[in-house]
Amino acid sequence: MKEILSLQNLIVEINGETILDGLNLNLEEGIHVLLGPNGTGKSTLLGTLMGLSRFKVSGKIYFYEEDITDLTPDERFKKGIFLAYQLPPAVRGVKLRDILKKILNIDPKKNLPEEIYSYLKDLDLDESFLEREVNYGFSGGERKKSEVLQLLLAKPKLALLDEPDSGVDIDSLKLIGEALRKVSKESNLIVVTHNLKVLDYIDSNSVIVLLDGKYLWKGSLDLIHQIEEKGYEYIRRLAYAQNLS
Amino acid sequence: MLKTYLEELKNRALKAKDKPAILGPDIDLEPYMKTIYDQPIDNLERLPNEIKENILYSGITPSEENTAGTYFQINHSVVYEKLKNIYKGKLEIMSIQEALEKYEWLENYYGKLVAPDTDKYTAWAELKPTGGYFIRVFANQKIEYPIQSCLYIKEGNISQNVHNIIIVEEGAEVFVTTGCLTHLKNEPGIHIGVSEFFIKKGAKLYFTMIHNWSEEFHVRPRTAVLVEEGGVFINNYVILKPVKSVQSYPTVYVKEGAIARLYTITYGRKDSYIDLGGRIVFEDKNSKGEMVSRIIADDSSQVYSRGEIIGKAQDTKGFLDCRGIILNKEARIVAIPILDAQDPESELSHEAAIGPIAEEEIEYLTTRGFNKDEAMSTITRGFLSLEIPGLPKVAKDQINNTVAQLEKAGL
Repeated sequence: MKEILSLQNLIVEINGETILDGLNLNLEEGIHVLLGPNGTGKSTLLGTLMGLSRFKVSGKIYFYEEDITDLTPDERFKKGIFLAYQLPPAVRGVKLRDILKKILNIDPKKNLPEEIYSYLKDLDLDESFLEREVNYGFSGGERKKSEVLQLLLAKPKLALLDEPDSGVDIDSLKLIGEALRKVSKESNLIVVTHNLKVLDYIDSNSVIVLLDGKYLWKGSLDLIHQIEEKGYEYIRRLAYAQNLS
Repeated sequence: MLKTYLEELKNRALKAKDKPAILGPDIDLEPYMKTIYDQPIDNLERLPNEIKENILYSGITPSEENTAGTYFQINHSVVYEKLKNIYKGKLEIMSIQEALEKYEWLENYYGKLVAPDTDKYTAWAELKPTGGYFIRVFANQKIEYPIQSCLYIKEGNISQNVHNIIIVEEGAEVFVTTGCLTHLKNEPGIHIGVSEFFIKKGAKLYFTMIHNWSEEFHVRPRTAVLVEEGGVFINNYVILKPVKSVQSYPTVYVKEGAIARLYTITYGRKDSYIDLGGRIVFEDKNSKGEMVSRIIADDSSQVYSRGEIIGKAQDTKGFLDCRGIILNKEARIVAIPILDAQDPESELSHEAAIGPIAEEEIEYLTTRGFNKDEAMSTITRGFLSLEIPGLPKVAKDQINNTVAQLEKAGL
């Protein structure tokens, strides 16, 4: 399998505080689950991969061997990276339809392609949803669905999913899970989750655990069971031991 | 007697000819006293190209396609008036002077809502009138296309003092678009507009005014509206180009079960001093209204947004909503909401928020492929494209097209 992502000594600061401290990682194409305790820097890592400006970055990020460290989010989007936000902001005055057209790079005056209607149906959304100001007055579930709908149309090479399952009810989780199953057939994924239920829908290749913003521990799916059984502390010990050696 | 009444108004105006307005910079009107005559034209397509192109930005169509009629004034002269044949007998359009000669009963309307001695501007509109339109829609006539009126200034150093009257009779419906503008760049000028609108029982008036003045122009609209029982008044005011100063505080008197909605879209640029208010007075029970403002202040513009709702009767409901974006350190937005409830069952509320465009919102759009500039302009355009409930599609398209045209022309 091809290498999709390589991080070399990645250091990320926000307002002078170091959140990620010297991460190194080589990741092959596939579906990867990113786990870790709260506040360990998972969202920061995804945001950094997307190029969000609040993160001050040093080190290198390679995407399919191309150095993308200095690219802006729109340039990274065009390279095929998509971030589905955990808490996407409301953008007043901008309709979801406008964003979908941009994602598809079609003329704002032209109609959206037919496939959008089957995606809407799959997510149990109405066409009127497209006319709403994006994320404004959306429920938690609607925000997630909106992100997934955009993702379905974007068909990126690499989708970064930041807790696509948090704050959604059981029915919505099922719909989002099924949609992600579809996405996982066409895109490589890095999924951050605390609710392992979403993993029923996607066939993950590997599990990555991020600890203290410093250590990335990569393993197979079995790692999830070990974490469930022994907690993150167990992985931390493994990581420290490896680091010492 | 109308003649005697008009003389009385003039006498009152004379006493107020030097009376400064409560708000806005005081303007010395003395240098703007000359009068200019322009020749009538028989077709708007014969207007000089620079005027033809310019009026598009104010929602005025030279082809007159999809319009019911047109009133066109340049400087101090009415140069064109037209009512399409199919609308004859349904409504009338003429200059205010013609109307005053024709209808003795105008005594019951003219000067009744805006007193001529309010300030020096209303006084001069009375003492030295230079045009204005009279539009009257007959009872129960529903006019599907807009009436367009244009008040154009093409000579510098003059004051255009217009007095407009719209009467929408019982059960009638109409929308009127007024474009007030100039193509002058460096020459100063003044536009004073007294407007009195009467919306009778169950009638509806959708009124849109688009101002495109210039950096040397002072503008003093003086507007009041009476919405009778069950009537509806929807007002859109759009100002996107720089102006020296504009100050206006229209008042809408709302009777039983009637509705008033005022929407203002302001883009303050360069040194513009923009002071826009609005006052809705619920005079009888069950009346409702809202005032919504969207403001962008750039460069060193100063924008005042004054919203005032007075609830004098039971079961009245009013809402003020003001949102502003500041794009420059030198710019300023001042939002002044006033809620004045004079009845225990009057429900009034307001929301106001001013700030920059959130970086997070811009960035969100960039993660969807917009570059930073596109993201900014998409948010700005969205911010200015108000969703106005109840506004007919044709009027909505007109506002959106105007914003798009101005945007294309780099504002």
